[in-house]
Amino acid sequence: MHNLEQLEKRWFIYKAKKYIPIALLTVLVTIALIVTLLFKSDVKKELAVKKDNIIKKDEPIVPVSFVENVVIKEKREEYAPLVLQPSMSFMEKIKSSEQEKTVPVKKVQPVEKIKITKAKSVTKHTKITEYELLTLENRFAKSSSATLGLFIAKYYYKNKEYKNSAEYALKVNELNPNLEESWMIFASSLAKNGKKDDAIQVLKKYIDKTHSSNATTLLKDIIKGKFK
Amino acid sequence: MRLVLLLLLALSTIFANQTSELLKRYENAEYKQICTDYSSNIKNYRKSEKFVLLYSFSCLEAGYIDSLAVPITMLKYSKDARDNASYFATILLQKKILYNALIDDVDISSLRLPTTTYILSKVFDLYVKNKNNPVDGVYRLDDTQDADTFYKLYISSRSHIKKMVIEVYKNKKLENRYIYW
Repeated sequence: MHNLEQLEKRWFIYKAKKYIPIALLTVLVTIALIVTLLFKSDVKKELAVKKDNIIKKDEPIVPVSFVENVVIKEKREEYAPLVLQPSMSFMEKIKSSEQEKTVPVKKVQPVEKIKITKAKSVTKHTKITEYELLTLENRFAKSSSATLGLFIAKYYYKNKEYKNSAEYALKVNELNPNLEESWMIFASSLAKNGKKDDAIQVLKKYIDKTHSSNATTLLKDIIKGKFK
Repeated sequence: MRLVLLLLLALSTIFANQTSELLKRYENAEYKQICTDYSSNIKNYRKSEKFVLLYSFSCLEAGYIDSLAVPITMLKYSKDARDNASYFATILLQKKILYNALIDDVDISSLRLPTTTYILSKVFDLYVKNKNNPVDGVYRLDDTQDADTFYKLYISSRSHIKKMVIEVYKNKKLENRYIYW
């Protein structure tokens, strides 16, 4: 007799073997489908983010000055503006080139003519008499005008009376601390009086405040000993 | 070749002479005259930056700030020239912005610009920081460094073109008046 139970088992195994590859294939396909679907959703999200960025870029650019931004206002209070100074050293260059030109002319010219030119230059400096200077000083004492004070300081400096020029330049600095010329005369007078350290200190303080290029060149000259 | 060299030499001597002559006029404070004399042909002097600089400073002293526009573009070859070009450009820019702000009521309180020691820059800085409203169209701006000094800033409509007026008061006395448009 045939063993029916064994036959049924063998038939079942045979059928199972037949369907296993199909089942495996379907499982793999479903897994692949799920993975692709997930990947697509990620890509869509990324694209959406990028689109948002593009849209933001396309928006009209509003100038910062018109945006009411508290942070900007706070920063503005901290902001120390850059102070630009005119650079007047080119004038010295023009003058020096002029002097270079005049040197050979002086050699050729007879002595008498040179004397005449010197006399002219002297008359420029000694235009003011002692009486006039006194009246100017009195006027300055009454009016305390910075421009008048600067004029007197310049006069003394040109006439090599450095103590007086320093005194008047200091007064002018107190009246109007923004006049660069008076600071320069004050520092130069101190240096000429042998108070180089004081002159350096004054110039350093002035440079810290104004970043003046003229003052820095003068400071360098004094430190290097070029200023005499 | 020799001809070219000779021409160059001749040109440089001509420019040098003109520059020293201009310097003399500048030292004699002929600012207005210098500025008006060369305003139409300053481009012809572009090879001499020193000449252009003297012209520019004359215009600045005379208060003809718009005349600085052309030299600003020409000053670029030496450090002096570049320094002064940015100095002039700042003043010109501040003038234009201040004029625009006063006439068209443009808010410039959040502006951050470099500054200079020139009167217009000083008033510009004070105006930007100013929180007070104008009285009858006149801004009173107190000098932060000098307690005795204050400035009045307003627009004058007397002529066909609106003009910006800056008045400097020292110890309550009018010391100077500058008009720009």
